Amino acid sequence: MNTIKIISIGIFTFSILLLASSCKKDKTDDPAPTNQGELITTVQLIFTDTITGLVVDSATFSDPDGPGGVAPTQDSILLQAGRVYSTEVILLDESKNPVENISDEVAAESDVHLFVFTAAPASGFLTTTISDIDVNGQPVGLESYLVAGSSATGSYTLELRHFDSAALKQANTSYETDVQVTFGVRLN
Amino acid sequence: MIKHSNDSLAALDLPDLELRLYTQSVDLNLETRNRNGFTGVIGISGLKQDNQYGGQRFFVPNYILYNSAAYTTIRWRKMKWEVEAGARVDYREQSVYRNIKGAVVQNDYQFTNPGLSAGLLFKQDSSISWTLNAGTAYRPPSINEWFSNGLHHGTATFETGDSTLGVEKAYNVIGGVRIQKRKLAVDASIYYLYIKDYIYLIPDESPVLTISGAFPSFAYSHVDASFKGVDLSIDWDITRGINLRSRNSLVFAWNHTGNRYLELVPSPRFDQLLSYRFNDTKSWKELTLGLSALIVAEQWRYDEGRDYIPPPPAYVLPGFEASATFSHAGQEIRMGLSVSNLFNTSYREYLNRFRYYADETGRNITLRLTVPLSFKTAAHDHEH
Repeated sequence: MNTIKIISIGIFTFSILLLASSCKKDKTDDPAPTNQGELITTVQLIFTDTITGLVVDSATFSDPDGPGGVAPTQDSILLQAGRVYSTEVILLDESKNPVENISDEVAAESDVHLFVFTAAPASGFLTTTISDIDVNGQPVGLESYLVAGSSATGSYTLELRHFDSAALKQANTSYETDVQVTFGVRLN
Repeated sequence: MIKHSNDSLAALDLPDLELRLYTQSVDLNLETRNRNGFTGVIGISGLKQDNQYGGQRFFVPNYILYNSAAYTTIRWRKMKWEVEAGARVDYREQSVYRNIKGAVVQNDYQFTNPGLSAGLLFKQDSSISWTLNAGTAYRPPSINEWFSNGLHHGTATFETGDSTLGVEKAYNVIGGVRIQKRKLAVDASIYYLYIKDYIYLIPDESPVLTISGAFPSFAYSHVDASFKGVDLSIDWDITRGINLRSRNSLVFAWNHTGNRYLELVPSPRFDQLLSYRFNDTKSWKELTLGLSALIVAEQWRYDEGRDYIPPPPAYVLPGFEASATFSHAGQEIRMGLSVSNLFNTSYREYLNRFRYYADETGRNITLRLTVPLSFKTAAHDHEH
C-alpha cells in the first residue's frame, strides 16, 4: 500500500517536472511573418485587337493585402462585338516590394498549370482559344484568342488550375484552384 | 499540414499551412472513505498547451497556455436519497504572439473561472429514479474565437475572430427520470440552459471575395442565449423477439440580445429502430433483422436572411440492418449487413458547413464479417 503511494507521488512529481521543463526555448514567442511565400494578389487581362495591333482594354482584379482585410478592387471588360482579340494574362504579387511577377513562375511550370476560361452566356458571346502550349503539347492559357460575338452583357471567368503532376494535367484531374476571378463584360 | 499551392514554398519543401499543438496535462485526485454516508473527492489538475504555426497561410496565432484547477465534490447518501455538491476554480494564463508586419506583438491574458454544481437523486424503487441537477460554469474564449483570421482549411469558409469577446457564463438546470425494468428502459430528461455572452460563429452579411473565388464568411460573436430541450430514449422489448429502440431530442434556442431565434441550432431529431430476433437454431444464433428510420425536421426557428441559404428541408432516412452468428464445427462467424440511407435520398444537414455546396452522402452499405480466431486445442477444451 505504502509502496503504491510512493510510486504515485513519484509519477505525479515527474509529470509536474515534465510539464515545467517542456517549455524549451522554441519559436512560439517569436513567430515568423505569414505570407512570406508567393501570394497572387493581382490578375490582369490585356486585350489586343488582332487587326490594329493596339491594346484596347485591360481588366484588373487586385487584392494587395491578400484574402480578408480590405476588399479587392475589380474592373469590368469592355470590348467591341464581332472582333477578335488576343488576350494576355498577367499575375502579380503586389504585396511585395518590388512587385513580383507570378506569371513568369506559371510559365516556368506550365506543364502543371492550366487556365480555364468560361463565358456566360455560354454560346454566341465570347469564344476562347488558348494559343500557348506546354512541353507536352497541352494548352496553358497565358496567351489566348478571344472572339467577341454579338453585342450583349455577361461575364467572363478565369480559373487557374494547379495540377499535382503533368500527367494529371493531361487527365484534367486532381488540381487546386489558385485563381478564380469573374469579370463583368459588355460588348458594344 | 496542407499541400502547398505555392511554388516558392514548394521549392523550399515548405507546407502552405502548418500547425503544431503540444498539450500536456496532469491530474491528482484524492477520495475519502465513507463516513456517515458522506464521501468526498478533492483534486487538482494542470494543463499546458503550446501552439505554433508555420507556412504561408495564417489561421491562428502562436500561443502558450497554462491552466490550473482545483475542485472538490461532496456526496451524501441516505436511504433513497443522494445529494451531491461540487465546486471548481480554474485559473488560466495565456500568452499570444503574433507577427504583425515583421513586429512581434505579445498579448497576455488571465482568467479566473469559478464553477458550482448541485445534484439530487431520489430512488423511488428498484426500477425508477429521479434526478435534479443545477450548475454554473464559466468558460474563457478559446484562441480561435479571438484570433482566427483566414480561410478555414477544413470547411472552405473565411473565419474572423473577435478579441473583445469575454468569458462565457453558463447556468443550467436539468431534471430527469430513469426507468429500468426487465422489458423496458426509459431515460428522459428536460433541461434549461442560459448562457450569458454565449460565443458562436455566425454567418456574415456577405461572402469574402478572394483571388481564388468567393468564400462564405463567418465571424465569432457573443449574445445572451438560452436553450431548452428534451431528450428521450426508449428501449422496449414489445413482445417475444420484437424490440423498439428510440432516440429523440428536441432543443429550442433563443437569442435574448437580438430578441430572435439563435442561428445554427440542431433541428428536432428522431431515430427509431424496430428489430426482430429469430429463435436460435443449431448453426444460426442471434439472427436479427431491423428497420430503422431517422427523421430530422426542418429548423423552422430561423429568421429570414440570417444565413447564406435557409436551413435545409426535413428529411427521413430509412435504413436496414441484419446480423447473425453462424457456427460450424466449433468455429463462429459473425456477420452484419447494414444499409443507411436506404433509398439514396439526397439531403443536407443544417449543422454541416458543406451544406452550402454539397449534399450529404448517399446510400451506404456496410458488410462486416468477424471470424474470432480460437487457438485452443480440443484437448484444452476438455480440461475446462
